[in-house]
This record gives sequence, C-alpha cells and structure tokens, in this order.
Amino acid sequence: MPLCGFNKEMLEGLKKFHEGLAEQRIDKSSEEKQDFLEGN
Amino acid sequence: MAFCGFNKDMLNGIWLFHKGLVEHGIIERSKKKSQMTDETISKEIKDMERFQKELFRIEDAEIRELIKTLTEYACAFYKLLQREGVKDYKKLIEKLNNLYFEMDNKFYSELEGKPNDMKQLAIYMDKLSKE
Repeated sequence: MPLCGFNKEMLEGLKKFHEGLAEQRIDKSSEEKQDFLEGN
Repeated sequence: MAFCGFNKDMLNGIWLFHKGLVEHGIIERSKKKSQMTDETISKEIKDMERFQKELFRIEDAEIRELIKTLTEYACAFYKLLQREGVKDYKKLIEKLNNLYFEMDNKFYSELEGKPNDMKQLAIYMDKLSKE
C-alpha cells in the first residue's frame, strides 16, 4: 500500500484482481449482447 | 466485486494482497524496526491518513479515486487486523474472501432483480459479518 510498501505478491494480487474485474466485465458485456440479439 | 462477480483469480488476487499487507507491511516491518506489530499498524494507519489529505494534488480524477479508495481499503483492513489480532491473520483473510464470495453469490443466485435487492444484501452481509 502507499507507505506500507508493495511487495511482489501484493502487486501480483492486485494485477489478478484488476484482470478479473476487466474479464468479468467483458464476459458480462458479451452475455448482454447475446441476450439482446436473441431478444431476451 | 459487489455485483461484477468475483472469479477465482480475483479472490486469489485479493488473498495475495491481504497476505502482503500483513506479512510484508506489518510483520516484516515490525521485525526490521524492532517494534510491536500493534505499533507498526498504528503508524501505517496514521501515515495513510496523512497521505489521504494530500491526494487532491493528483489531477486525474479516476486515478485519484483509485488511490484514495485503495488507501482507505488498506486502512480499514489494518483496523480490522488490529482488532482481531495479527496472530490469526490467515483466518481473517479467509473470512474476508468468504464474505466477498458470499456477497456476490447471494446477489446473483437469489436477489438480482428483486425489489429491495440491495437492502436485503446489506442486511445479509451484516448478519454474515457477525458469524
């Protein structure tokens, strides 16, 4: 963290978290698009 | 996250982040400085609070908000760690992961789209956090 220091593990953890957030969003957008196309 | 859905990577990521906050931020630092972990936590919290007062200097609104909320998150985590005790930090991390997982699970499997869904979710989280 600011001022407690980031180590490699923490940075890796945040990276996974951010990637997960982005990927979940992408998955959700695809589902929504599919639903829209199927008229749901 | 609340409502974006937690996947395994995210839970693993947040677990690593918490672990680092305790092991690197508190335990290693306490050893280096030869001070009690409680003292280190208090110092970290004070430093982060001082830092927060200076964040208005970051012009990019989204980056400023991310740094602000990440710092607030770490502060809240350290306060909880201080309350629960550093000794059992792995249990605490597991509990948090479980809370986050259940928060999403409850919403997506049961509450999504229902009236008062957020109110019900908050009540559920209150109950779960007391277990």
